[in-house]
Amino acid sequence: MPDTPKLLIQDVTCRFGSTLALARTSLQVRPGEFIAIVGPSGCGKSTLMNVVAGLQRPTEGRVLLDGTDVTGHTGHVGYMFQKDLLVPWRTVTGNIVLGAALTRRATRTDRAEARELAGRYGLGDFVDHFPHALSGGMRQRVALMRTLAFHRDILLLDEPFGALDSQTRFEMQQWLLQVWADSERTVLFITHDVDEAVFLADRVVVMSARPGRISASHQVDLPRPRTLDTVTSPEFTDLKRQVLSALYAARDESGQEVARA
Amino acid sequence: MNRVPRSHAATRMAYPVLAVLLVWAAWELVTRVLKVPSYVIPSPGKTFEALQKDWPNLWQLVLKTSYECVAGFLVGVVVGFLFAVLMGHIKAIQRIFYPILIASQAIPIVALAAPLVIILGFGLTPKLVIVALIVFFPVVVNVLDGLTSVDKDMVALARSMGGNPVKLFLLIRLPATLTPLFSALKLAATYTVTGAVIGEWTASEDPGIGQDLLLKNSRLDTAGVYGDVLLLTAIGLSGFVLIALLEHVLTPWRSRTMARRRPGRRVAYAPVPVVEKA
Ligand SMILES: Nc1ncnc2c1ncn2[C@@H]1O[C@H](COP(=O)(O)OP(=O)(O)OP(=O)(O)O)[C@@H](O)[C@H]1O
Ligand SMILES: [Mg+2]
Repeated sequence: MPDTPKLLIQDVTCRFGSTLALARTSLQVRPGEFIAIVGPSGCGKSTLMNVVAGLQRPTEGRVLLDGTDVTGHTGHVGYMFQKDLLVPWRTVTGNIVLGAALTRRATRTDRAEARELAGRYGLGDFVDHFPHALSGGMRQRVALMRTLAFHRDILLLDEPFGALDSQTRFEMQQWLLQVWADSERTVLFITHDVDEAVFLADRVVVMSARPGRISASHQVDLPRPRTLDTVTSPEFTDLKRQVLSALYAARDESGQEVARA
Repeated sequence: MNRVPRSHAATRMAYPVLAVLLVWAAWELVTRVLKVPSYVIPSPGKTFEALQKDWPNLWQLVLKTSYECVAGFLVGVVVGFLFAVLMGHIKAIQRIFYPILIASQAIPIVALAAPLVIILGFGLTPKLVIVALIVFFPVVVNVLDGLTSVDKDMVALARSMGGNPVKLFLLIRLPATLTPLFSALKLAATYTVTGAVIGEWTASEDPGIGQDLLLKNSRLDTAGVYGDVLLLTAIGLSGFVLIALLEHVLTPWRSRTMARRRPGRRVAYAPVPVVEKA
């Protein structure tokens, strides 16, 4: 192999009692790659993320980060959960520096960086606000800034925009792409939305349920930066159709009913 | 925008004052209009007269009873808190002691006072213990509730960042107990007076307002008794207000939109125009 992959998920399986949440799964991720993972509810997407984050020990297999085995070890990746999980008693700044506060101590520099980050991405007037005073979109942005300020090369984003209205969602997607371009991180992005997956990613990975596993992988070679024009291009529509049919094929295989033909 | 406007604060202050005036008026009305004899219900005037006359003696008793309340309260809160943390972290302890704790609440504290005095003597100790016992229960229950109701995902998030158990406790679990803790403390603060009075009635040494009340009652000094009741109410109320103030200071995220920034901490950034509004 020419380069070591940034992240290597190797033959990971995960079992909860008698349910096999994740069947033998392998995935290789290049440095700086943006991967979107789509799949039906309950197919083990979050479980896979938990394994990569070290929160869940896999039943079998291992996770390699830059060639080092990190299976079952936490603190190596920035992980954003399905919920924003802002800490209610910390201000916006306090939430952004949470990673530093947990691992060492949040220094003056950490706080300055947090304010700078908030300022750069449109929350400059809210650095001292408590989360309850923020809108849903703002909270989501703070959660993402917190993940960024943790300074890990890999970002795991579990349906970060799932709860947002479509307009805010599109703004957030563009914002994320901007952040990603600024920071050269490797991203694993879970979503239910095929449009979102194709719009954002370099590669779309399709998972199927019962047992959860990777059933297809689609390279997305649409030019960047991606804009509204991207969404209306024939290439986009074509890719979307491929991913959708892979999703439905995966469902058929696993014996589930197809929701819409 | 984050501070309550002055006029609002004034209105808010006006309501408690109004409440006091209402009670006063009702009291005056009952004694004057119904012509209740003053040895049955003394008028506010008579009561305050009695308070004033006996004040040189009373203020020391007030201090004594306040001391019992505060010391017993602190003991009850600290022990209750530690116990809750222990139960929250070691499930076996919780399984064993929680039922005992609930059962113990069925025992009337008054009934417990006499045996406690036999064990602990007639001094300060049994009074403290009685007050502490009363405070203990709500603190344990509420803190345990706070500890167990912390969002599991929030703990997982903190863990994913590599936080060790001590940091997790200090930064996530502990602050989560503050809201239920203060609800318990506000109740407990008013209960302490009841505990202190029960204690003083059973353990006669080193008397406070509770003993004084008993004494005046036996002398049919009704105005004096009413005066003592007012003093006890004032002690409990002060405790409540103090705790409420402390709560306001220690849990700013519940009452304020934003944190007060320490002076000299301004940073230079051009505020980006914000479309959304809180
Ligand atoms: N801690 C656990 N204990 C037992 N079963 C679990 C646990 N975590 C997940 N599972 C099971 O594993 C399967 C996969 O769950 P997972 O949360 O990974 O799905 P998902 O793909 O993220 O779904 P969604 O899209 O709805 O978020 C589910 O059947 C779930 O019930
Ligand atoms: Mg999930």
